[in-house]
Amino acid sequence: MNKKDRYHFDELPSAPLVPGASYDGGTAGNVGDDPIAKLLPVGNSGGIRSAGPIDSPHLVVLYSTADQPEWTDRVVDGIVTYHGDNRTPGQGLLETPRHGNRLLHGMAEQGFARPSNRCPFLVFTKGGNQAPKIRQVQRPCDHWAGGNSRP
Amino acid sequence: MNYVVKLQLLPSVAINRADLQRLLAGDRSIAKKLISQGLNDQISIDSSMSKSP
Repeated sequence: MNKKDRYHFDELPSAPLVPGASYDGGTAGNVGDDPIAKLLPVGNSGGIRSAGPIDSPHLVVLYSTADQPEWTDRVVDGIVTYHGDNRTPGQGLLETPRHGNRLLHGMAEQGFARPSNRCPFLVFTKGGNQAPKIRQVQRPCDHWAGGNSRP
Repeated sequence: MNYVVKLQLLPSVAINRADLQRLLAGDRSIAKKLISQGLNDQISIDSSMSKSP
């Protein structure tokens, strides 16, 4: 595999997924600049994205800008804590526009622990120059939590 | 109100395009192969619910 630390926007459709690498966005000034969508067929917006059926995804992408004070997405000692996609108040927990919470909820209901239900999670964080940076390939860990995290 | 998901980092696992294409086509053997590279029997996986921070 030809690994690099950084991939230009034009390279993304054929780029490998390399932990720690950065993936540059486009320069057109529209949603088509989103590098994750260019890299993977998961849509061009939203923090929780997936490829494949929502009830049995082939892979899941979690993207965090890590700049929302109420949503303390973090990586500590190898454990990623990622808040779901219900940032806009006044809607049901599972009724978010892109169904990110519904996807995660469904996976938890089916049981993360069953091998047949597992799929890779890819966590991207915003890089210093706005280019998403893949943190690591993930797998679901010790628990899935839901509750109040916002006033 | 929101959900929180916790994940453990795998060792440094990269995915090449060939495997990625198979994964996106629904080939579960690729998912198993990737995930197995980071399996840790000491970590339990369940769907318990709790309050987020």
